[in-house]
Amino acid sequence: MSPHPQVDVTGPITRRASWVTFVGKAAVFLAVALGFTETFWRTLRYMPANSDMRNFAKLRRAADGDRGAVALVGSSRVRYGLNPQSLERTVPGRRFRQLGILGNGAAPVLEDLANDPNFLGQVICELNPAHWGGGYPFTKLPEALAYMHPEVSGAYLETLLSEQFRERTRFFSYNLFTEAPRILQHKPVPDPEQPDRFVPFHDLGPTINEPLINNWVRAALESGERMKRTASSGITEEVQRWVDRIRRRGGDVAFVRMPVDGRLRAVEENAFPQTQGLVRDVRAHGMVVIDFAEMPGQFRCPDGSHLEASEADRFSRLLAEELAAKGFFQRAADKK
Amino acid sequence: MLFNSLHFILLFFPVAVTGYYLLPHRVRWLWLLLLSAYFYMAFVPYYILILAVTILVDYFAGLVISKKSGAERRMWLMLSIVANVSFLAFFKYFAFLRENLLQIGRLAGHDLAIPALSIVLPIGLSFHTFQSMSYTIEVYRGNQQPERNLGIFALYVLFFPQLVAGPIERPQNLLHQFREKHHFDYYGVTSGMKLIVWGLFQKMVIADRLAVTVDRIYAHPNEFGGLTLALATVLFAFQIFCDFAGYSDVAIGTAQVLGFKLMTNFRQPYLARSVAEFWKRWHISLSTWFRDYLYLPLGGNRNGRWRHIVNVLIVFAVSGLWHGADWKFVIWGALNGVFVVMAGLRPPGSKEEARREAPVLVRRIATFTLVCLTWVFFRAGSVGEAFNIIRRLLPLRPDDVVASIGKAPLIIALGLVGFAMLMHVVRERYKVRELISRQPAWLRWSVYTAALTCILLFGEFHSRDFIYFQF
Repeated sequence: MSPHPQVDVTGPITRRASWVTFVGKAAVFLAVALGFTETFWRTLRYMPANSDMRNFAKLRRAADGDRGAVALVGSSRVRYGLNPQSLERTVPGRRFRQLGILGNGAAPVLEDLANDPNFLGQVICELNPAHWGGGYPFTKLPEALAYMHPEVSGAYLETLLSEQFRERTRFFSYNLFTEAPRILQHKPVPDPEQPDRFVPFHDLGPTINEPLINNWVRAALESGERMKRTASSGITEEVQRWVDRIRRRGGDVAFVRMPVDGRLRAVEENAFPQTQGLVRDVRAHGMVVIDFAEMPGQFRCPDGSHLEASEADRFSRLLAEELAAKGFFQRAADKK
Repeated sequence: MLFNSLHFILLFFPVAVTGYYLLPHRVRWLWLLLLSAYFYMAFVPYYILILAVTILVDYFAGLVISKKSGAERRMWLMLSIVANVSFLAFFKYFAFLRENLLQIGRLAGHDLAIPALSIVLPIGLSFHTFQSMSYTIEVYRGNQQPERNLGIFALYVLFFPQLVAGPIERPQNLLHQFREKHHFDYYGVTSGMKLIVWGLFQKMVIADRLAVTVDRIYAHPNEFGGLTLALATVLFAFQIFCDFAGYSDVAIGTAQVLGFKLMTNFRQPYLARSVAEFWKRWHISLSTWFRDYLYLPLGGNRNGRWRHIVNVLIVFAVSGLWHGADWKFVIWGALNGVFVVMAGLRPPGSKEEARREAPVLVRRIATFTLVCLTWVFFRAGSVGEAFNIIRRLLPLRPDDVVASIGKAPLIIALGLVGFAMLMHVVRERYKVRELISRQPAWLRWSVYTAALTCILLFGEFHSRDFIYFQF
């Protein structure tokens, strides 16, 4: 028996109403709460955006049957770091499709492109030993791919509903807890998802960058430890098979090692000593590799891992020039 | 389907409730059965076949048991229990048993050839298996008439509000409710809705937010000092409470909207003054299941002190194993059993004395500390990792908690824990839903709107699974 028995609220509650009244009240109540929340976010200039998964699916399908398509495949480093508009300005006539997926390595999308007989274009694929060697936990099937190839289950319906909501409301994608530092410091709100899926990355200052840098450093150290046990320093047979399939259809794959900066760069160089071996091995297999470390100048990543928006523009242009100089775009054109 | 998914909130639940009240009483059970099957199949469709076998086995076992007597009656009960436990053992414990047998074989110098099977654990298997078992046991004991309508029995096992994570119901409480006519009751429906909103708040605002910090620290325990690890464990204590109690509240609230009454699953567990009392307040539907169907049949406290101790330890170890096929869960359960036993070991007469010496607050803090110690085993990735964390915990080494967790996440986490604890105290003293219901309309609706707005502003909408789904 509790020493503090619950306070007895005596007498029955006799409030009665029909279910129509209840539904009416509930609708008003929902409208007020939703309206208030949406107004709150929009006052802070957070705007609804195109659904990313639909954009992914749209761009992925647009690449089908297009010999001038160049798919950009990789993790957030590709998503933030390769600007399709900058690439298209440098290599006119090519249609660059941003297929980078946050929190996922390149492998699933590269495999999907390789296995799709309708994909006839080229691929610029992120080369990161941690992704190929099981270092970072990038093993789950990206939701975006699952969305493209739906299975019969409630999960697809859930995705469809949430995507509808994301396109029309802002509150659904953001949380006041996570956005509070940005709001309190009057930092710019994130740009809405663009149809070309390029996400400009902004420098939000040390308060926000430092925890991110610590996080990436920790992830790199941990995946480096894991990779000591699992990864080889060569390209796997599986990746070779995917590349061969794309080449047989007249396409080609170029690999790019995306820039990292500052403390994280030093940590990754120590944690992934097999990187240079991997670069050499991929080149030995006749594939183009662009390594940021071999490019002129430095590239600024405010959080160590992702290119700042203006740097993404510069890096994209330089990358396109390097690839063009190595005949990557020409080789594919010759095959056609 | 998750309760915190749009699929449930926007589509399934409104359709379920509207259809239920619009349909005539005679077909409502069928409507609920179809909805429940869809709810379960939304996870992985073919899992329903496993559930169908359990339902058929226990349905026919119930019918046969009611007709037999003596040893034959007992034999049919045993057959039903063996069938249920075998299902559980195969799907949940095969890999665990195999790994342990191989280990024992290696120690004995033999390489055993046990094939590895790729078995996926069906969601909520432990919950509906236990609910189904309670039916045959109660029929055997004569406390429950066998259910002759296979559809209604299937609904008893499948009833969607409590299908995947309880509360684990008893047939005496639930089965008869499927035959009762439920009219639209405004107070019952709004009361259920309040519970749903509160449950979602606990899950989406408190539990999922705390999870971000807890996951980060428990993923790299070697990088943090004792105080940070201790704080992460306290945060986990509230994360798992808000996650599971939140789920239970949504389940009970959902059932209440449809006119059903499910059993209470949590009663402010962190206000317990002993670990034994904690288990009377935590996951009550499971604790009472083990009490009724394992502890009492083992003899309870009727066969002397030592037998009582052994019984308690067996029950808690099995309860640990129920939670997961891993030694860390067994140790977690056994540790709880040891704490319960130790509290009962004081010589007669000393309890009262001890009670006088230790104020309630001290006993509550001591209990909470012991419970947190057991949560380390529950949350850690393995037994080795749990011991490593405890080694780093004790003695508590001061380290820079603010630098480790970050100022803003720390303030948010402590604020959420403070709020959860405040709600513990308030709910211990008041029937909050009734209290709100007695306020003027403007105040009531302001509270509802504020609660929903809080979920919309602070909630995590990325549909993180409920922790107890894995069991």
